[in-house]
Amino acid sequence: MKFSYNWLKQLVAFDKTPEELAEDLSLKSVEIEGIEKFGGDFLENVVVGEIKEIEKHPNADKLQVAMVDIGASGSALSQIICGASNIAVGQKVPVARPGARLPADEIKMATIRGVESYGMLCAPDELGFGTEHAGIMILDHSLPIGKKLSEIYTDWILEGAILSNRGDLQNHLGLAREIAAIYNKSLKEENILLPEVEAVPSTSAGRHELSLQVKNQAPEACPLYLAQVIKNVKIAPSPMWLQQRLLACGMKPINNVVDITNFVMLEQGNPLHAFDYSKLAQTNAEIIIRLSTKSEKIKTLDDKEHELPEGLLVIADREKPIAVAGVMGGADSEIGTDTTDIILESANFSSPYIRRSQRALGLRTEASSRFEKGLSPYLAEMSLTRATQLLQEIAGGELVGEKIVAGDWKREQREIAVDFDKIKNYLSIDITEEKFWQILETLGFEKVETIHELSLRIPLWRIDINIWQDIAEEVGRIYGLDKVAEKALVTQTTPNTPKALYFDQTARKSLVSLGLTEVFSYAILGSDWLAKTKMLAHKHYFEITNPLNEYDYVMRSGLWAGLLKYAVENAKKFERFALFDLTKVYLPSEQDNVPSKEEKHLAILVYGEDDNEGLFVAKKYLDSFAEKFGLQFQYENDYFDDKPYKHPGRNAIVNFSSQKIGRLCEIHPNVLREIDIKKRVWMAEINFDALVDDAKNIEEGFAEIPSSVIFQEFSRFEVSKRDIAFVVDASMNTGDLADSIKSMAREIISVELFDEFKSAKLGEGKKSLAYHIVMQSAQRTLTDQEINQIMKLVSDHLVKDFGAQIR
Amino acid sequence: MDLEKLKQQFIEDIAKVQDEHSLADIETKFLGRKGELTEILKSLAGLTLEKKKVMGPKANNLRDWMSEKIADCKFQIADLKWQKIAKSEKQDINTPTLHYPLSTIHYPNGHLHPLSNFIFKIERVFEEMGFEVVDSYDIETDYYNFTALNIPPDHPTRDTQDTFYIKKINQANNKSKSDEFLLKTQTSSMQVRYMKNHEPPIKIIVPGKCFRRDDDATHSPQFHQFEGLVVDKDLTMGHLKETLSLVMRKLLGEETKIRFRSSFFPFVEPGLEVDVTCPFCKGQGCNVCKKTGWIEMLGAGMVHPNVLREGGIDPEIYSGFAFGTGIERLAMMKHKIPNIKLLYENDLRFLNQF
Repeated sequence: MKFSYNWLKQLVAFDKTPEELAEDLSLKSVEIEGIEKFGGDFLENVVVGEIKEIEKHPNADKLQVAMVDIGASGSALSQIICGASNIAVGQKVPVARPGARLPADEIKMATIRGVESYGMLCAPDELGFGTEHAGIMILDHSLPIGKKLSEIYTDWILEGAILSNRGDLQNHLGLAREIAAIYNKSLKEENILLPEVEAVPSTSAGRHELSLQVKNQAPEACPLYLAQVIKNVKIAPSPMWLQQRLLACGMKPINNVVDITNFVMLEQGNPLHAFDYSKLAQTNAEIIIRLSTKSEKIKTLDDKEHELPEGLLVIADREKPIAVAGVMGGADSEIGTDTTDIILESANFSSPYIRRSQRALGLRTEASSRFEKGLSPYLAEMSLTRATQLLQEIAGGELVGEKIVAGDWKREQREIAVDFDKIKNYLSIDITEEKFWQILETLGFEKVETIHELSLRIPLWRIDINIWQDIAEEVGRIYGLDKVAEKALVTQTTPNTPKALYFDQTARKSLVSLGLTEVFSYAILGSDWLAKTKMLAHKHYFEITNPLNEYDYVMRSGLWAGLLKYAVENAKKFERFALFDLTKVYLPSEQDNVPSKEEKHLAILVYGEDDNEGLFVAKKYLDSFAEKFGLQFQYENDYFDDKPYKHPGRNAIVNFSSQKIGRLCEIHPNVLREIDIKKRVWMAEINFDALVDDAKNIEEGFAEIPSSVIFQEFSRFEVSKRDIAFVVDASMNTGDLADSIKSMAREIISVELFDEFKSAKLGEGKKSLAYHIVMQSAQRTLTDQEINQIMKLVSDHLVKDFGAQIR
Repeated sequence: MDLEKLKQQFIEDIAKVQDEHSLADIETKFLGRKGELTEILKSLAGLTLEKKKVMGPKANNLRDWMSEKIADCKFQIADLKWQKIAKSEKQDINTPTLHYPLSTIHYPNGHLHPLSNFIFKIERVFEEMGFEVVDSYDIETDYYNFTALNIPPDHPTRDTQDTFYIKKINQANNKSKSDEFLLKTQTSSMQVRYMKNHEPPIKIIVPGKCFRRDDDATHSPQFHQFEGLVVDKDLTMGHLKETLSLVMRKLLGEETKIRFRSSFFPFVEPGLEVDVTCPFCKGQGCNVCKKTGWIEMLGAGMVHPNVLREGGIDPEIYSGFAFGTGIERLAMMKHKIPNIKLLYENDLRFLNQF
């Protein structure tokens, strides 16, 4: 929510810059996420002027020529032509001097119908103050001539993130109270003086003219409904000070009645609504608070038609809904320029109903976002009083009868017993008892002493305070959480960390030492990917009911599909790799108190091996892993498993202690073609949990591998591969040669030996070598020409420096 | 030439295709340099503008259609071919042909994922401080993830943690209601489970996966958190502060300082956000910490009495504190990883750096 710094200063006297205030609020009350200056820099060139003379324009009926004192040196007056009729000698008005860049216009000296004009007298809208354009803005007469408007009207807007339990802070009065407590000041209550009158229930008003009945048929959803009939309001633009407050808080001024309801919401915290009395179903007008029935329709103020589902909280007249309670009013009963009589609503709607309406309509408004956090009905009482006062003062309204009160809520101040020493110890803050009570009293708590104990009476607006720990928080945050003194934790237990977790750690480290690289995969799989890999038919037990998209709803019951995904992109860049994933799969539960049986599995993936050896490389990995933990696996061919993603002739069951614990196989070549992997892939998956009891050599105690790696960004441009084969002296070290090739160009990112042989044909003391050279630029995709140049550089280098014969 | 006739001819021909060769012949016959359709396309140049407008799109559409059919057919032929190859490639798992030891030429080193390693570090730090490491469930009940943590149904906090709900399928006797199960949104879900099965004093750390319906540059729908919970007699905010001070120094460096900010989580009271001095600028102010010198790091607080009660612990006798944070962000800070997605793409160019 947006808070105006000037407004807060009007409510409590404190002496801090907007930045200092933001910092203190963030630590103690409301996190301030940003500060923005309100009132543009263009006000620099707009000054207070006093009109000294007015004459008719000699050549234009509708224009006048004003002579204005703007405090220029030598008391020279500025001659300014003006089209508005509301100006008079002696008024103070805003004068935009030539050079001023107003939101809509740059002001220049001009000659209008033969008369020179040195600037412009401004209407409020021309200065960004609302929408009023009817006449020139008339300033307070006490303002000194020549003063810049930027000095008068600049405000700072604090964007506050209100915690979900602090609905009472979504208004300026609430925040001012916090500021008062933080800086130990008192509220300037004279600026918002309100009579403390308790509401007396009565459900009808104005027996004769403009009568109204209120029927609260949903007291659970609406604990308090207040309505006041007001007649003879004069719809007009709001006064500028009020418009400015709304604009500062990001709301658009509309007309005095609507603006007052919004202003009071921003000041007191309860959203209000005004209905046009004449647009309700007439003869014995009624307001009914009820839940919507099936297929009721309403057109809301934003001109959208909604068909309401059953059970939304609505305000209705005798015929139809006239507002979605606490969210948005209906267009049919909207306040318009011809409105004269209104029903002012100030009500408390309970958060679950508001949230239901928000979800159903996809609407979140200033009003609903306040109700959704939960508000005290007390705020509705205060807001009604305040709005009634302003409607009389500003809009000339006259009250018809008493306010109507419908709802079960009763003013009742709760009390909580408070033990100062206990709270002081809990907070671990050294605070005097005097300071303790003082903080609470500034926040509106009242100390109640009885013979036996001390209690606090909770302020009516605080619905979040229920236990003594809540009181502790109040004191702790206002006094300063930086004052919490550290105390050594002496709690000792006998930790019983499960062996499975140590096994997990040791296993990951062992797999890495075997040469496998670990991936972190998603537990949620896409049905599109499963279909593509022909694994969709593979059993899965849990589905997400509200997935992020139409595909990603499958909770994995195995690891293959997820792991295979990571082979696709990596295979485009690397000739050969081996990956592992050690994580949970989700199977039907065998226990009542857990939703799923979460079984840890180990999957490995081998890519880029010789077509006929990969299966055994993968098997070797499994065996080496088992061996590290003193285990042994048995394998059993399974040629009858006709799963379409498995190679029919290269498929084995993995057994441990005569139990089937997993599977090892080649992925069917047709699946690989489907997902665009060029070389073959072998995968294994075993039940890791089944090994825990028998595993030996497990490291007890956790330890990370020391690492000071700083991530280096890598290029995402296309990778190009070329091969080079050549003959050199047999004594040459293949690793040195690779390094030397790599150093030839920055674009060469890897050099890998893939063939090495000697033969009589090559000659005595010679060998043939072949390398894959992988190139990539950090800036762009390499062109063929650039690749050829790099390859030429490499071959020239090999010939010249190593006496190589390129083959 | 009549395009309809040509299409009919093509359909007849392609139905007879046996292998790659006969398919290649068809491709040449219709779409080759002197193919029948190619010739028609060439001849369009000589037509009047009006005829061109009619014939042009038709002929081009037919060309696209034929190309697509040929590609499909190629795929099917390859499919059949590989079916055959696969059937002929039987290997016996127990008669290995592997003729070299694994260690000699393959993969000089594998790489541990940086998240794994950071989790080990967290576990080590807490273990040294006498904490027990506890595993948690990913699929949880609504009760343990929310209700037991003082977050009843309809509580607004549920809206801020966009939750994935789970239904059970593949079971004849499917009794689960659609909103009964969920993917845990926070590792705090383990608090009450653990309390129900253990007597105080309790001193545990729970690292684990969490899930939220959030997917953008800074959010991954799956991420990791760790949750700490200590329950004993006479625990105070002072104990919480000392513990977190110590942990953050061990995780982020000895010079790290922490500060508490007032906040709200339904399962703690008081509730706190805990900031740490920015490790990048050492608290001087930089872009990472938005010039404040502080980075928001953990949520924490004193365990709410309702939560203790839910776990079967008497809040008149015992008190407790809890804290939790995301692990990805810590690991990303340590290794200066700019984007959370890098941790889940599993690109070897990334993984090989660790």
